[in-house]
Amino acid sequence: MKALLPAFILLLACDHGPDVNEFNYEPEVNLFALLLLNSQQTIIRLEETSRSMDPLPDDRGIAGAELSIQGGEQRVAYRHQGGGIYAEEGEKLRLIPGVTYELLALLPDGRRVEAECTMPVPPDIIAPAEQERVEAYASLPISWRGEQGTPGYIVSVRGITSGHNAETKTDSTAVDFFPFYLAQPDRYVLKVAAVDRNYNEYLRVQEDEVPIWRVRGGIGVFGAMAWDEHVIIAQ
Amino acid sequence: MKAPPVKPPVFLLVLKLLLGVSGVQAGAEVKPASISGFVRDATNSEPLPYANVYLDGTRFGSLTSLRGYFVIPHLEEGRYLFTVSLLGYERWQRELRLRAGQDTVLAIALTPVAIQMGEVTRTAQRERFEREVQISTTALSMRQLQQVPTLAEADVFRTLQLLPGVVSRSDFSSQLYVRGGSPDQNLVLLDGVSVYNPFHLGGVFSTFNVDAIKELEFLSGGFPVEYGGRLSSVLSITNREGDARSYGGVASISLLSARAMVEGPIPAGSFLIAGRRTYFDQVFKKSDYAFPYYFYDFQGKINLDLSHRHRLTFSGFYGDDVLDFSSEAEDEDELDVDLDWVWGNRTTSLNWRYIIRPDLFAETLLSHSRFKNRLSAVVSSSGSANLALNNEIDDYSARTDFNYFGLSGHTIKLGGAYSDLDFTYGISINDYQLFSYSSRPALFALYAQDHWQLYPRLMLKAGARAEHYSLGDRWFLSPRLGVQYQLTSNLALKASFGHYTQYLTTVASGEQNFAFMDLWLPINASYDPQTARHYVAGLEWWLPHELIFTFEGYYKTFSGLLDLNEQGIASDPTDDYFVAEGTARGVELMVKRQTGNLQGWLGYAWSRTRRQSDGIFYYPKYDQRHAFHLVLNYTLGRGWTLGTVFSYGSGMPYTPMPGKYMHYEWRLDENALKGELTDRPGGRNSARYPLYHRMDLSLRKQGRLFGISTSPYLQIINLYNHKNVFFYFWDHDVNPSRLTTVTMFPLLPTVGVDFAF
Repeated sequence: MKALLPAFILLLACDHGPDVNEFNYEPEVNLFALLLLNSQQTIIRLEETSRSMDPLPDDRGIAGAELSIQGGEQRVAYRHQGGGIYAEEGEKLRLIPGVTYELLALLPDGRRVEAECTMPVPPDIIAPAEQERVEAYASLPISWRGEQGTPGYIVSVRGITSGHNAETKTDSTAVDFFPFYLAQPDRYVLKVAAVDRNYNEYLRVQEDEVPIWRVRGGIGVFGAMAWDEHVIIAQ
Repeated sequence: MKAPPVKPPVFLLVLKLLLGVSGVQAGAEVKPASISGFVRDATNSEPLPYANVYLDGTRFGSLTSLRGYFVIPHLEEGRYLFTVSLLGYERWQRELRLRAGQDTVLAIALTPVAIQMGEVTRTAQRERFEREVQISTTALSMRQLQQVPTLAEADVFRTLQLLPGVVSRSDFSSQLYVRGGSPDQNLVLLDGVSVYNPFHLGGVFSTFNVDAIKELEFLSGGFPVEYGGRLSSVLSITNREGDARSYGGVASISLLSARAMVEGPIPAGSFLIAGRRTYFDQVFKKSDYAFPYYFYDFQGKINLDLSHRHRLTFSGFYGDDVLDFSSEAEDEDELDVDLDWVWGNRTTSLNWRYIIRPDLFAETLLSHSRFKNRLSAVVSSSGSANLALNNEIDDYSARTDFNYFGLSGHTIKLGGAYSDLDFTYGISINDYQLFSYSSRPALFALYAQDHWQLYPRLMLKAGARAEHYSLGDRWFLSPRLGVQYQLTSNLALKASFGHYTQYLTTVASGEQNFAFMDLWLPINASYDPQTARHYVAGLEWWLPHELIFTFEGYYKTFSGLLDLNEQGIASDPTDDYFVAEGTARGVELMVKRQTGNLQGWLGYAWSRTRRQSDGIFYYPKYDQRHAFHLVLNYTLGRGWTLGTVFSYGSGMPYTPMPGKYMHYEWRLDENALKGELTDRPGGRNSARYPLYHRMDLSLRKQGRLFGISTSPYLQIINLYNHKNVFFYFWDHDVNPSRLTTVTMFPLLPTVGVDFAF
């Protein structure tokens, strides 16, 4: 029994694993940058994250960063517009399917944030056809042609009169709308968007405990999206 | 009339060749005699396992099996004093005169004598200690299960959670995390039939009605060849056979449920039927607080002794949880809802026990186990949507075991098992099939094992199990080895090794705070099955004052552990799962006493479980470094019994949310950017909850009322109302965000009463 006691004490001294708690966290850079092919638009937010227990500041934006995106033959600089919003001041970034874009942000305190994304090829909706009449409050099969290797799609619908809207995500080139997506007779705008790998993963794992952020020097996403749209009539 | 000679089966001849044994039957000049038979309780004919049967003044003897069967082979002609002893029963003795080649078959009925509760089990345990290689094994009787204070009524899983090496994630779940394994790695058998979802109310209660249980055996590691298909543990529950002498029963009512059990004789056999049902739904039916949920379970067993060699046993279990809910919209913004949700298990089995020869015992089991989860929801406002969900697992199995006792010092087991598994999952809306999945794999296994008394102090249990899995048409071999060395008459050293393979996985891999039910999936041909290796060593020491001390250390490796990838591409079977490796190590100490006025156990476990996925190490949510349980039952006299449980455990891991950030998303339908304040997770399971501790108390009074044996009881869960943390969450709707703690069971008193007639 004498030999067991030191062994027991040794076991008690063994490690409990890392002891991280809710309060030892240093704020990080949160980047949201999305390239929209159809509107040739670049949306950029550059913000600071917060400690969970700290009050959320009214302005989380990071001002004064040198932010640029390079794609193809072009390099475009973005300036802070306030509230962490960055926009092109002069030349606009040309968004082209298949082109890889590189984002670089140099923050005033020396931090550096980098990310790359590739603009996907927009899908081509097969069914339902433009101006097709479909049944309201019924399942609706939707299919489209997509570029091979497209990581994921967002499919959305919005009633032109009612404003009733719904959205779903898929990695397939076909999806069945739930009956309540077309909950009332109306003309609907149906959109199918191809998204790049970064944005696809950003959306997929947003509630996971191990999120995927393909941003060096921060969290968030630099992604791209391209869509096709049809108007359908639900009766 | 002389019985015709029985030809030895082919496999016995093969065995003899392999083992180099001769002279057992053919070729011997003098044919040996044998004594075999069954030992039963004289009051109800229940088989008595682990009774000591021996010939006085000789080295010949044996233990009865779980079925009460024994055989003493290789006896010379002569007179013997044959004795059967089991503490708690009168000693049974008879002088036998054996002739050469004579097989004497006995049906022995032992009469109980008044002793302290639990002594029967103690003696059986002592017999097993001396005669069997047993490691990481716990046996509990119905009586022991009933003595442990648990929520509302006695519960198998809640009691097992108090053993060292078994971790409980929360008060709300009776799932078992055994030596670093997740709950889906536990094989749960009811009379030999797999039960896939052995829980009611999303895991709060187990499905097994303790009134019907005769004994359970829990193997937390190194389990032998007859068990396969799971990585971490085996829980084998044997239901009672029913009283073959007279009719009787018990009835109980607790705050949870009303229960009843009846048993009695039938021509050439016995029967037992037990059932229970919760009644909250009926109590609150007419009130404003409708509780539209209930569960029930029924189990039955019929035994037929066709002859002294043949016995048929039919058993069944039927249990469902039912949620039947409907609400009418009170204003335009609300929806009418009509929900009908039923989920539960069905098992049916037919067991044929055949004593081919006194030294050869065969058992064949045909079984069907089904878990079904059926949900129908009608949601309506201006239109209506009818959501239907159907999940079903059907397991059609057959197995045959041969136990051969004809070689001196050996008990040989050979067997085969086949399972046809049918999985179907479907979701539809308004009869439109949104999702469907079906798979029908088959599992085939052959196994062989020898329990060998190599030297008087050394026993071996060695064997192997070969398994074929139809998805991918693959074979796997699982060797198993157990050793026991009797250092002194009271101290034995033990060790075991085993390789285990698992072909099924569940959607919830144990990382969730709460899993309502296990949704099982077969591993497709693109993945290797999950495997584990167990290395266990320890000792068992019988101390004075009827104390038993056990110490075990273990090391386990896991590979191919699968975590369902819910985001996997439906058409790509190679991304269905995330694959992880892992290790678990630990030591367990236990001191127990199962006789006398003060019974119970004190257990301590140190363990460390790690997983590795994509090159990242983490501690799974059930990695508990220290766990301590004290279970005591004190007989106060005059029918009063006091029981207490104290549990103390170090905090389990969770993923902290130390930061928050604005999660932006471009809404395609609205053509607008939307942001939501979201948790920023820290490292996976990198923080730990505070220490867990809780004390429960029970007080029971045994007495008689109007000639009926009654036993009212009071149980208090979490006596000092300690607020154990279940989980944390941040409420970001207020600024600054607020951390909210959800706690486990508060102080909960419950009462009930048992009647026996």
